[in-house]
Parts: sequence; C-alpha cells; structure tokens
Amino acid sequence: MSGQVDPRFIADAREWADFITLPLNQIGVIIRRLDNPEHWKQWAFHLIQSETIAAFNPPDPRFYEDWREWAFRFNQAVQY
Amino acid sequence: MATSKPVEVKSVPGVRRDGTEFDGKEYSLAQWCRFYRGRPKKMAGYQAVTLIPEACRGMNSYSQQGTIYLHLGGNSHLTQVQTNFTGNLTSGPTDRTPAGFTASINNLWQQDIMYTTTGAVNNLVAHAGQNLADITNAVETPIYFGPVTATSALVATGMLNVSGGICSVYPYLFGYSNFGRIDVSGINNLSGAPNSAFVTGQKIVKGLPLRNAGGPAALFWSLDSLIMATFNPAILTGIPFNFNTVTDDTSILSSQGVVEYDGIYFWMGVDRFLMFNGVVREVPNQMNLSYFFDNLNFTQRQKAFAIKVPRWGEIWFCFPFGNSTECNQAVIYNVREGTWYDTALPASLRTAGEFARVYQRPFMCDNGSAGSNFTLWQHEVGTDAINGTNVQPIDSFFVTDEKDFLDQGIDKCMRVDILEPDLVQTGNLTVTVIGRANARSQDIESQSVTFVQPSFAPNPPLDQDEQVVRFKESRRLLRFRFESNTAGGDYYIGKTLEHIEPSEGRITQ
Repeated sequence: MSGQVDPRFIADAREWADFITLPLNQIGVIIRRLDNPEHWKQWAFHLIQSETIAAFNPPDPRFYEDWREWAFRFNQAVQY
Repeated sequence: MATSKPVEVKSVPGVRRDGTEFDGKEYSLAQWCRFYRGRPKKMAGYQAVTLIPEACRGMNSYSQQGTIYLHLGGNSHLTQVQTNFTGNLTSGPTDRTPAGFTASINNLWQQDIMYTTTGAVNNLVAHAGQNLADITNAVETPIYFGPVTATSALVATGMLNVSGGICSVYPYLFGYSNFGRIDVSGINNLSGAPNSAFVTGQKIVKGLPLRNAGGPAALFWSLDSLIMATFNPAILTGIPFNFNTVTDDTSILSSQGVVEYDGIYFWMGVDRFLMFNGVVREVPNQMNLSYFFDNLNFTQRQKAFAIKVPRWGEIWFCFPFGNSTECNQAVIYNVREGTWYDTALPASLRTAGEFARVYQRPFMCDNGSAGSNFTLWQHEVGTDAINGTNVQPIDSFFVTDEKDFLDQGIDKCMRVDILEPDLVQTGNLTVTVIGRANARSQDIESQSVTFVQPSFAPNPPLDQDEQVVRFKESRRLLRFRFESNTAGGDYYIGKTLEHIEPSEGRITQ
C-alpha cells in the first residue's frame, strides 16, 4: 500500500508537505515542517538530500517553477 | 433627483467576535446561522427522538440493516436506542448497563466498535472513566463489551482497567491509562489479557485510528504530548507497534474535543485550536479565539465536546460559556469555507454529540430540565425545534459588518432608502437597520420591517410595496440585521441590494 499523496488536487504546498510526513517517516525519513509555501524549493531541496530519498534519484526542485509539478515527479521517482 | 446607488449587502463570511465591531469586514453577530458559498443560511432544525434516563456523557452510533444503534453512556447507565434512518425511534431505550457497574457523577464514556473472532460478532466496547470533573483523574475502571446489536447487558473484557479510555485500531483494541500506559488486545480478541507499554510520561486521554501505509496506526493524546503508534510486523512478541512522539509539547482541553475530518484531526488545546495532518499545526483563527478561551468555563473543561457536520463542512466545538456548567455555546470551524462563526446552543443545552457517519444527520443529547426530561435529539432536520406535536420556531439571525462612507473618504452619514431582498425564503423575515454615529456612541435600532415570503404562480405575485423594503434611515456606521423567527422559517441569502446615499455629516449623537 502506497502512502503517496497526489499533489494535483491540493491547494497549498504546506498541506502536501504535511500529508507526506507520515509515509516518509515510515521509510525512515524525518522531514522539516514547511511553514511558508513560498519557500517550498528550499524545503524540497533539503528533503531530497536525505540519504534515503537521494537513493531514488528524485527531481531537483530548483528546475521547477510549480511545486505541484515537482511533487508529481517526486512521487514518480520515490517509492514510499 | 435621487442620488442613491445600489450596493450589495454583503460582509466577509464568518462572524468575528474578537476585536471591535467597527474594525472588520466580517459579519458582526449571528445566531443559528451558517455560511455556504460565502452566504448566510439558516441552520436546520432538530427533532426529539426519545427521552433518556439521564444526561448522556459519551455516545456511539452503529448502523446495520437499516437501523442505527445508539449507545448513550451516563452517570449510572448505558442505554441503547434504536432508530431508523429518518430518526424515528424503533426500539428502546434499553438498559445495557454491565452488572456491578460503578455509578459516578464523573463518569465520562468512550465507546467504539470491535469485531471478535469468538462469537463472530461486532461488539460495542465501552469504558466509563471518572474524568468528567478532572481530566487528570487516575481512577482505573473496567472495559466492557457485548454484541452491538444485542440488548443484553455488557460484560467485562479481559483488558486491564484504565483511566483514559479505549479505541479500536483494527484488529486490535487499545486501552490507555495513567503514566502513559497503553494496553493492546490480541487480534480480534477482547477476552484475553493485553500487552502493555509505557509510551509517554502523562496519562493518555484519547486515541483515534490513523491512516498509514503499512498497517494499522493510531494517534494518542496524552495530557502534554501527541503519540503515534504504527504497526511493525517484525515485532513478534509483546506489542507489535512502534510508538513515536509527534510532539511532546501540546495540550488537549477535553478528551471529548477531538474530531477527525477527512483524515485531518482537529482538537481544542487549552489555549488554541490545533490540527494534525502529518504534523501538528495551529488552526488559524482570528475570529473567535479569544471569545472562546476568555469565556470558556474552564472548571467544566471536560464537558466541552466536538462534533462534525460534514454536509456543511463544519466542526462544532461546543463549550460551557461563562458560568454555565453545561455546553450552551458552540464555535464552529467551517473547513470548506475556511472561516469561523458561533452560535448559542438550544436552551436545553447539549451534553454529548455523535455524527452517525452512514447517515447525514448528527445526534445530540440535552441536559433536560430540572434534573429530568433528558432528551436525545436528531439535528439538521427541518427548520424547527420539534418535540412530538410541539413545534417551536428557531430564532436565526445575522448582523452585517458596519457599512459606512468613511473608506471612500466621505465623512457623511449613510442613508438607506430601499432594500432589494434576494434570497431563498420560507416564512416571513424581518430586517432592521442598526447603527451609530461613531465607534463609541449608542446603537440606534430602527423599527423592524417584515418582508413576506413571495408566492409564485398560481398565486398572484407580490405587489410593488412587497417586492422591496423601504427605509428612511440614516447612520454614520450602519448595519443590517436579518432575522427569521417563525415556524417553518428558512432563508439562504442571495444578492441583496441596498440603495444608499450620503446624508448629513454629524459625527456624534
């Protein structure tokens, strides 16, 4: 059973970040809380540097303007 | 020549109680009024289902074969009431109090449903903790169970006595108690002895199942922390769960004050509203946070309870206001509209509530009158308060924010000539102009004007005078109060227009 959350229908990057906290905990990834949705790139960049996540070769948020597009690609790359 | 111009009568959705009346664009007051699509709408009514023997302190609903089985826990009884989906009583009230049950005025029940392999039935699991007066109470009491659709008395489980309560996290039953102790039953087995673990420092007062990718999971609220339990199949002895502290610095006002809404958990802390959707966050509230916590009767904190009304996207936080010892007021968070408002609860007060889930209407219990006539009510039904043949109108009103010309740099009073009501209406409504000269002067209310329910074909349409409301009222700061207080009365406001123009320039009365 996947813990992935489809970002396409979520209004706020914070909500998506909150929702994936639990399933990522399950694979041993502790993530920071995203408080300002405008800072999603910094938050995402920190996330993909986690050793467990990096092993999946996740997309680099710096190359995306829309957090949903990055999150969608993240879900495709990372098994959680 | 008339210089008045039409403007929509509209405020920002929600009722703001914090701060001054002048300072804000939200509705300034409302009673039995909710918001949908940003527009005010009268809340639905409620009807009595049956009398119950005592004030309910915790209830559960279970539906099967077209019947809703409601179990109501009180000081000394556990009562079953069966209704059909229209809220009509089909059986009961039936006493299901376990033999040897210890009555206490502080009994506060937690109930859940649990399947057991033995007997192959769904069971009601019930626990009465003596927590009504004190959330930190340490008296440990037994956990009972019995087939949920039966009418026989419940019997004791093999679980250890607990002080906090119980919750089902299929296929396990969790009991929780003092010193952060959690007991976990065997798989679908309530008769055997549980395994125990101490997972935090303080007493655990509430638990709920949680979504999880790899098996069952649960959230537990201790007095000062939030604990997450996740299933770990690699643990072959003891409790097959990992326990993680989500936060060790949180609070919970009442063990009855937690609601799960679409996978997100909302609850009342001791000084703010909180939510958990993966992380703990404060629920934004600039509307009635101080109104709630400044007026809450904190000595009766455990009587505060939360209930959801998903039809309208609402979570009701019911609480004892002022000196009241029972819940007489509710602040409501509308998840869909993203706003807050409040209402007084019916005069018979409310002691417990339950959303029936397979049915769209919640149930609530009242505090009776003079120590008797305790009643189970079904809410969100019709428009009135119905108790048998007795039908009483429910007073519903809202007051707009203060309209003025000051924002436009015009230091003049606002004169309103005509109001063009646009609304879905049943029964007559009244509209009153309220207002004052400045933020520190006395309110002056106009005579209320009634606008009648329009009749359409085949009845003749309203005559010209009934199609609009005519005023000659002038206030520097002006509000409208719309009210429905007739049997069968209902409203849902549309695009109502006011015709306004600047008038005299007095700034004091």
